[in-house]
This record gives sequence, structure tokens and C-alpha cells, in this order.
Amino acid sequence: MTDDIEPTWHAVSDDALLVQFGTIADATSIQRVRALDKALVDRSRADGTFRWIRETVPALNSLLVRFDPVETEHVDVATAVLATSPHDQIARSEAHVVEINYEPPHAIDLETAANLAGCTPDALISAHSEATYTVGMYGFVPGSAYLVGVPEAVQVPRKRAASMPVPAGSVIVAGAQCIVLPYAMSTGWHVIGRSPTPLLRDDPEQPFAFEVGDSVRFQDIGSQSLGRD
Amino acid sequence: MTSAELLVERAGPLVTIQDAGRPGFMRYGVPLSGPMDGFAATAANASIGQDERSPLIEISVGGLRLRCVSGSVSVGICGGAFAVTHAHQRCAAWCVRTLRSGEVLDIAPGDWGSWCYVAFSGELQCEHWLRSAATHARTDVGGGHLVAGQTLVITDPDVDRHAERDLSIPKLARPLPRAHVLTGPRSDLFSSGSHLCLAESSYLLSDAYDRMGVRLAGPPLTFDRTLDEVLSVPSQPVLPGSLQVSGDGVATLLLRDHQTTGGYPVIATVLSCEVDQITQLRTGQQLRFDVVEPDAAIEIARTYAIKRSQELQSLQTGRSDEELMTQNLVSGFVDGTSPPDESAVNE
Repeated sequence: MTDDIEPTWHAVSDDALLVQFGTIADATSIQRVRALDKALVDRSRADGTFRWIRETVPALNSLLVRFDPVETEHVDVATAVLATSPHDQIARSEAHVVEINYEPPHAIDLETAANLAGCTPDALISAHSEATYTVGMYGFVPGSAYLVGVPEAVQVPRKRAASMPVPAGSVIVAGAQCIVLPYAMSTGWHVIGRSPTPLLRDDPEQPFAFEVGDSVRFQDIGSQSLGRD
Repeated sequence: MTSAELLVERAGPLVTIQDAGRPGFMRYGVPLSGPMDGFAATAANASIGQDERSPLIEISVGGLRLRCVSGSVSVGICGGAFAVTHAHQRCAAWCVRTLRSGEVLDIAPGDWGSWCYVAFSGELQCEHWLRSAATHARTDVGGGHLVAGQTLVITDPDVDRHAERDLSIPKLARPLPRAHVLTGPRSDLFSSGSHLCLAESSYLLSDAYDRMGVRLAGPPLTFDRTLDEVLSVPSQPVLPGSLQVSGDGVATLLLRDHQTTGGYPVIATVLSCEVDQITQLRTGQQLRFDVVEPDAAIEIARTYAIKRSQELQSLQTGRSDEELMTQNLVSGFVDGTSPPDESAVNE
């Protein structure tokens, strides 16, 4: 667990520094990053050095802080950031439910993945749908949230080569991570289902359904048709 | 409401609508995007008095040809040293021109530079996403790529205030063959040989070059850990300017449409104030790196900010000087500093 690791920081560019919570990523590091991130977002209109912070970007065990180098500098920003009490975030994370259909033609790699994991497809579906995931970060493409929490027994590696493009909404897995693809695209991760739940919104106030640190569960909607697109 | 319509007769790859960018959404995997050379794009808007956030066109070495099919619109053209032709007349690479019905504007690669910008004296109608027209090239969100046959509409075009003029190309527009970098944040993953290599070798921009980044060709950068360990490092947020090194030791310089987080380790990051000029390098051109400390990076950023401001100021000041010289300030007298101004007759 990474509870007790003191965060460190590193200047990465003239206008950015990275706060690091140890070298491993786990549920605790995700929550620590989120707690500090939320506290900084809350202080974004505060006086002093906080005025010059442009943006913070949370990841699995690190937080990028971008600032205006004309008005401030790394040491002042790091001091202000590390002196900020982390927000008590754990109680306030949102829990989301994402619908998923594991039936053909939406789960082209389900059998392959089950073979690799050494279980039946049904066992993989059970394990995947019964787990609770934490939103670790976004990356890869816009709106692509990394959901951390695929049970170890059914984890599979990436495929050797990327597939032909798969539809938007495809649910893909690699290692402990699961992503619901926001766009149709090729992927090297195993496709085990498809979700009709819309995750992209046109609302600049809340453009994406999940915040980093939120929890997500999948709801098997069985053989409901998702159409043939 | 008046408007001008421009037909896209030809557009190469990576000709897109951009604006100042889409800030504040990196936490959702959305990079800032925006112009590859932000300075040149701002200059294009500034040269015709447009707000620096106005949508404009970014042109790659693929080139662009526009035909004005109705109305008139003034344009500001800045970025690199492209071959600019208006109504069959070759123009200076940086200039202000007015496009009138039937006239063609052709922009093709010239002596140097990879990105040219055309700004409009009016409002370019285009798609927005999350309040920005900046195109994210992989997903085509925002204003999007230009394609032959498409019509661009500019509403409320203003031509009266913009005298045609040539602009001198500022030093800040030139490609930068040496960039300052800060090392890290995971310097420990790289061998001391790699750090030496980065500081002393010459790299070339490969032809794997798009809005997401450019692969660099040169001596491989080696790791101080096993490949498995290196590839298991948790992904971290990255920036335009980040030098990511993949398992084969090849460095990629991330650019405007970069993936917001990277699993490959970053050996160093080019200062944000130097990325604009680096994007004006072309495939096959050299790039070297000078490692600096954070204090020096701040000084470089501040010096750059002052210079940038001065250059943009003189682009706008230039306009008002020109206007004074060509306007008839007292009716009935002819301006004695230049040949008769045709636009005065058309007014």
C-alpha cells in the first residue's frame, strides 16, 4: 500500500512539475492523487501562487501541475501544492453503472481471453461483471478512462497485434485494466463486450461521465440487441 | 449578415481548422491540440486584428488551394516560408491580402517551414467541440480536416480595414535546431550513457511526423533496468515537448495532439516555449538538445514571453502605420508616398 509514502516532485518543463506518490500504482495511490487534485481544483481561484496554476492532470500515482512560468516558478508551486491538505475524497466518489452486453457479435475476443486465462467464457463474464473498478486515469484517446480492477484470475495480456477497428462502446481488457472505447478504433486489447451507455457528453461543464477516483460496476444486460453497426 | 465563401480546390493531408486550443481537459484524455506553431498562428490573426483565439486554417507541407466563390475577405498569412500565390501573383511568405470573387489563393511548401496559417477577417464557420474549433487529428473532432470540394464560409468579413501588405518574418518564426530540455521525471530508468547521448548527439526528424509527434532518428537511448521493468512503469501525464523512449530505444517528441498519458518513460522534455519553433523543422532536419536546470528554464520562458509579445506588437503596429500611409487623411489630396491606391477607388 502507498498510504505512508511522502509525495515528491520533479520539474518536468518550464511550465510544469510532476508530483509523484511512490513508484507503484494501486487503489490507494489513485485515491491520494485524486484527493490532492480535488483540493487544488477547489483552490483554483485562491490568492497567491494558486492563481497561476493552469491545470492539474491526475494519473495512477502522479499529478501533473501546469502553471504560468512568467508569474511563478517550480519551487513556489511545489511548496503551495504540497502544503495543501488533501480533500477528503473517499466518501464523495461517485459510483457508476455501465451496461454491457457480452454476447456475439460484441465480444469477439471473449473465447480467446477465456482460454488465455484458463477459464470458461461464463466464468470470465462473472468475474468481470462482479468486480468493482476504480477510474485510475484517462489517456490513450479523448474520453478513454482506464478502469482498474479486473480480477487477477481473469487477467490477460495484450494481443500480439492490433485488430481491425472495433465499434465505439467496445469493452476491452489488458492486465488489471478495462476501457470502454469512446470511438471506433483498432486495439491490441481483448474485446469482451460492448456497452450502450453513453460516456461522452457535449457539455463543457461535465464532458465525460467519470471523474478519476470514481468507482464503476458493469451490469450484464444479457442478450439485448445493440444493433449491427 | 454578409459572408464570403471559399471553395477548397485542393488540400493535402494535415490541413485542418485550428484555434488557440482546447485547454483544461487533459484529465479526460483530451490534449490541448491547437496550432503546431502557436506563435505563427497568433501572428496570422494579429496581422489582421483578429482575436488570437479566432479559428483559422493550419496548412501542412501538403498545401492548400482556395478559390473565393463569393464575397470578399481579407486574410493574414504567417508561418514558415511557404510559396504563397494570390490571383496568380507570387506574394511574400508572410502577408496580408484580400481575396475577391474568382481569385485563387495557393499555398505550397517553400524554402523552409512545415506549418503555415491563414487567418480570416471575419468569423470562420466551423464545428466546435468543448468550446474549441481546434482539430484533434486522429478523431477529427473540432473544425476538422479540410477536403477538396468543401466550402468554407466566413461571416461578416471585413475588407476595408486591411491594406494589402508584406510582413517581415520575425526571428521567432524560424525553426530551432537546438532545444533546451529538462530531464526526468524518471531519469533513473535511463543509463548514464543515455543522458550523455541525449546531450551530445544529433537527432534527425524522421518521416513518421504528424500532429501527435515525430519519431527521432539517432543513437538509441538505453535503459538501466530490464525491459519488463521499464514497460511496467505506471503511465504518467505527458506534454507537447516530452521525449518518450520506447522499448527499442527510439525517442519520439510528442506534439500538439499527444496522448495525454504515456506508458513509455520520458527521458526529458523540451521547454514549452520552444516547441513552436521546433515544429517548423522538416523531416530530415537536425535537432540537438541542451540540458538545463529548472531555474534556467524559467528565465528562458520569461525572456521568450517578452520577445513574443514584442514581435506580435510590431505585427499589429505595422498595420496601423501602413493604414496611415495609404489612407487619404484629407479629402481631395492624393497620398504622395505610394502609387494610387485602387482600394480607395473601390470604396
